Amino acid sequence: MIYFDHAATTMPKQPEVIAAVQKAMENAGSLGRSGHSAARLAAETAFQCRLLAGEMFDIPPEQVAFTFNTTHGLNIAIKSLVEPGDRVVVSGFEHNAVMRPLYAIGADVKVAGQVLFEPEETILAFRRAIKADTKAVICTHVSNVFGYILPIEEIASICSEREVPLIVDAAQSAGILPVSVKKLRAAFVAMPGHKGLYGPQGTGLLLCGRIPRPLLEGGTGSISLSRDMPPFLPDIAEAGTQNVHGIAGLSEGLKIVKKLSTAGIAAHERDVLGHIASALSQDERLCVYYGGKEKQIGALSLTCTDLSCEVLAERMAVKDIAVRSGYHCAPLAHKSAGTLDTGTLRISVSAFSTQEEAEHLISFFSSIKLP
Amino acid sequence: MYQYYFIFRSVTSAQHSLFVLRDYGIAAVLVPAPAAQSFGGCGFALRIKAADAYSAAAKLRQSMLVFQRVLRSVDGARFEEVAL
Repeated sequence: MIYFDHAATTMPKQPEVIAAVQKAMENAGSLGRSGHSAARLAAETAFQCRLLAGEMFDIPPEQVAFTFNTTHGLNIAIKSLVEPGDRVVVSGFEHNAVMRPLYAIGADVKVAGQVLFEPEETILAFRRAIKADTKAVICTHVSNVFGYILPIEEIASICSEREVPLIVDAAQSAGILPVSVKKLRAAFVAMPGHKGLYGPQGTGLLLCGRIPRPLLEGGTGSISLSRDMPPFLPDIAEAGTQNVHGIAGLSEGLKIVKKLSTAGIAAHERDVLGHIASALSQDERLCVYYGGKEKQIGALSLTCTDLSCEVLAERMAVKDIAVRSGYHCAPLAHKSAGTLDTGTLRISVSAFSTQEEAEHLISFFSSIKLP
Repeated sequence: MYQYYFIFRSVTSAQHSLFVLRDYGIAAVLVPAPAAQSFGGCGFALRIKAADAYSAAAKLRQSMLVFQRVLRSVDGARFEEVAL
């Protein structure tokens, strides 16, 4: 398979990730519940992962909470900060993982920055939208639909100036762009383990710049006599048995990123994506949303004048080329970019995408006959 | 021979301390804290040989790692709190 759906999940998983998961499945017990060797291995596995993540994202290991995915982390973060009726500022490129919790809470959502690949405009829009009564700012680092890199450092700076807590959705940037919780002074940063960190599905991280509210209550293996959840991290965010098998794989994924370096991965992804964008932009039947190497990473969206995105993706699937079509769970991003009527076809790359695969994809577009 | 139990509020705190002590060449074993001796029930402890106890306490303080209390036991059944 020629796989260009890495923004959904990176695959295939690397052999060291698979081996670590298998080893954990054979040897690791439950985290934080017992003192036998299997439980001790689980504790060591989990802490090793927190250490690696803490080093990569500039945060103490105790403030790294395990989640099942980015959505889980974002729900903890949002529900820790936002009450019904609260004014919340979001970018125009947010995923439903941000928007649906806000709608469910009944927040007063203000959208800032809806112009694609215009970071200066985005900064101005946030500057205008963040008021004294803003309770939180939530911003994706990279659009999952268009690969647009939002100016997160500048937005973080505005939040710091105005003392408004910031939640960062790093679903598409973790492992590709530098993310420092300390520099951003973020309240929370949520990320998946199974995308740019190359771990298994069912893993995610919530980096906590402050103590969250529990989303789930339950066993933690600590202060069991209390009716309440432990008031400290990471236990307050980690009720129930943790996915130690997945965490073992995530540790190996983090080591892969460390070895390749985020700068190296970013440069590679930019080269592959840039090559695809340049070639497909020559095709008059396609509208390719490309903002250039500095403003875009990981994902590229396009529409076709003569064929729906879904049919196009299906034709590619027949040729064993995997891409994604539709709204990508981010209708707000499509509203902002003007693609709400059609959705888009999304091509997304990873550190392991090759120029040969890119050529294969490009030749598919050259070969298709449209009505 | 006494063994010392450094009590932590969570497995993460205990494991972090174990990693730090390991870096200093101090052997420690992660064990569940004696439930009746931990604050609020459950929690984890590092079991450390008597000869290393003072040094371990110093290294943990130096690394800003907080343990809740230290117990010592001769036979693993009777514990007494000690100040290090």
